[in-house]
Amino acid sequence: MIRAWVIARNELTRTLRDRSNLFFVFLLPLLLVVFIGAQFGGTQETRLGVVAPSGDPAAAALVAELDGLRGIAVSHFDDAGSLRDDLERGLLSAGVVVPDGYDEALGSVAPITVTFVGRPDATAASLEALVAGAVGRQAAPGQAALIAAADLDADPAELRRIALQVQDRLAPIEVSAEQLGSDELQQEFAGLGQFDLGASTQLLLFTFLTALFGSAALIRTRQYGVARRMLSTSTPMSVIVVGQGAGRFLIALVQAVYIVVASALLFRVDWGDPLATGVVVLLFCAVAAATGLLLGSALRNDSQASGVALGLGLGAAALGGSMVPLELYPDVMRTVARITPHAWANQAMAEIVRRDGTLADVLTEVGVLAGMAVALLALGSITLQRTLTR
Amino acid sequence: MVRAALIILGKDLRLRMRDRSVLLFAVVVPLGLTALFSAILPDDQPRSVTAAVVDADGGEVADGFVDGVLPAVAADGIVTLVEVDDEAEARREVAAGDIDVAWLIPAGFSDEVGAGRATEITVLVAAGRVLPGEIARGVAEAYATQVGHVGLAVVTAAEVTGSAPGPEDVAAAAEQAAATPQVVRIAQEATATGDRLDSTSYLAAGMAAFFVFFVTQFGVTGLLEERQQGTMPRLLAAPIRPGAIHLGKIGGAFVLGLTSMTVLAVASSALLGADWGPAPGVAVLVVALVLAALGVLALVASFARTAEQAGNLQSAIAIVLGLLGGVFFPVPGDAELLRIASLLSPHGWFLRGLAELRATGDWTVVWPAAGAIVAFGIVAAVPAVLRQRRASTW
Repeated sequence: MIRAWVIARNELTRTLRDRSNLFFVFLLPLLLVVFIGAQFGGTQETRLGVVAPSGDPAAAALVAELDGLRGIAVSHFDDAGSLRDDLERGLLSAGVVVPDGYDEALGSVAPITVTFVGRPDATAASLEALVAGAVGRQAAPGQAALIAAADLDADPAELRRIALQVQDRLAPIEVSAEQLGSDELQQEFAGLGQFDLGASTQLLLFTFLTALFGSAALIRTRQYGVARRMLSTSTPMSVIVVGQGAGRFLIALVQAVYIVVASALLFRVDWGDPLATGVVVLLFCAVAAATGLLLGSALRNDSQASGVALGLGLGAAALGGSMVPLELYPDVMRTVARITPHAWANQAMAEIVRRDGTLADVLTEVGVLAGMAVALLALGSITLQRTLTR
Repeated sequence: MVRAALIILGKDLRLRMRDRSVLLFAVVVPLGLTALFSAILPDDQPRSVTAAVVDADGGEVADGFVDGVLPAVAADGIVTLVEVDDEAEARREVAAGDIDVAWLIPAGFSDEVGAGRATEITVLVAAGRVLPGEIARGVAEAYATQVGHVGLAVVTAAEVTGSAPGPEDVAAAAEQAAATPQVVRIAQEATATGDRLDSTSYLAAGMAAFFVFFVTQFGVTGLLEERQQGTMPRLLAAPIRPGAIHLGKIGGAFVLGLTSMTVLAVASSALLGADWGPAPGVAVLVVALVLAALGVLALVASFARTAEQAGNLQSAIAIVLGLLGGVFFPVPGDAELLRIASLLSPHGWFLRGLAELRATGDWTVVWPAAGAIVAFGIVAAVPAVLRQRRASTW
């Protein structure tokens, strides 16, 4: 077994000696954790452009009210032209142009026009309803004054001043909102720190990707004749196969442990129960190593292997919830995702990190991962034995 | 010189096509990932709000909302009205998220309004439906304001005349209100353009841009390969100018990059329903991006000694630039730092150019973005050529 260990250690040393591998194994994962962390909690707000005359109290109040609406972010523009430009380039959902003298017109009950610019779609129509509501509330005393003025033959501006004084006596129709049901997504991610989600998903993405890229190294071992030379020694075939498998596993494990430790130290990522996380990570590394072994024995040349590794590595990660959380998937895709080890590992990590799960809570996931590891290892070793003796 | 370059180009292309790995990078993987992502990501197209109303009152003021306001709002496409039997059903459906919002008008609503007493409209909002909730509240508040005008007009008139308001005053004011023009009118102005790049098109373009940096790698690493395999001295000994060798290599990568992106643009449109925008604009951006890829990759490769080293370095740079440019995750609007970072990447400019192209439908808007992309290539290519000169004199 010492010989298998030597082979495994050599594989690890070869990988770490290549300085460009250091980037992929150690730097890029953390970079992505930062990147995903920076996006975490960022809400997709509907952007509304506003042109408001400066020093106009009523216009300022209108903008403040619009900005206060949930789900809407107001951007300020100096003139209607630049607002229209941004709207036409798709940077805004709609725009409002408040004319000069808005405050004065409201005070003197003089007709004035606020321009709403939007695309002919439902989003713009909805935003227009919101703008019209806010404008209507501001115009209410003047509007009432205008209605009253028809019978009284009085100055509407004067009536508006009276309306402002008496409006507190009226009991208005209150509109109250009541939230029903629970926002499952919000609850799901509520207990997470900024970098927690990115750290566990990227750990899976990268250990798998690195292990698959290891298949190219395995192919080079064959191409350069290293494998044949090993076989010509007294080393039995089984030891070489175990050594190669262990080498791929060791590389995956070093990377995984590094990501856990570095993200915990640098970004204070919470990894949950050490035993449960440890088991899941170990099994996932085994699945990744076995897949790398299988690819490395089944494919012929190393550039083909890099292509397949990149496609399969990114594809499985995407499908398995390492790029977009599984919770956001449509139901069908969530079921399909279960063919990837990532989906099971992500599910387990969600249980461990978000709901403080222990090993007992993730037994199903652990079982499936173990099954995948055993099946792939068996397949990989058999294929490797056959290719080595070809 | 051109003939020699063309022969080298042709030989390189044949070599790459025989080794099928280039097909993986150029077509299969980017297209597969795009299909996968667009299946996973929820559709982000705006949709109208599904809403129900429960009128427990049935009076005149409630009718004004249920039969006056709501059908108009539904006709504008803002909401889609759904029938519910009673409050309990409305609560159940909203709580389950089957409908977004529901308005509840309490019994006695019209009487309370007529008597000037406080009353309320309750808006039930399904959890997580932030904007639909605001819209439903806005619609109810707009009606409340409109009803309030009448009451306020009556009270104001009473204050002026000094007489107590009666029910007939309210009826007269309501009639007058309908005839009174709005003090603040909202003028609608529609823009003809401004379509957003839908997620499938964004992903398809992002993936194509990402992988073109892998597809064109060999154009630059090819020189290192020839040197490693000892064929470079033989090429140099032949009656070919060194420039022709470079031209052939780079030209081959350029052709392959263009082909890859064209195939992806056509295939993603035909198979996945993506729409990249007007063809001339797309063509300008694609050519610019392939040139930028060659420049950046040449600079990166000039720091490497072997083809393998160069390939690894190039991949690293391609991944970082792609990430910054938002090829995997669109850069969110409120992350200012990431937005600025995306301008440091040709991928970011490429996607921005495409977004503007789709929004305006005018292909000439791509020039600034294309210029920025080519600038990346030139800024990278100049030092690369200088370093290469030094290297090939040895």
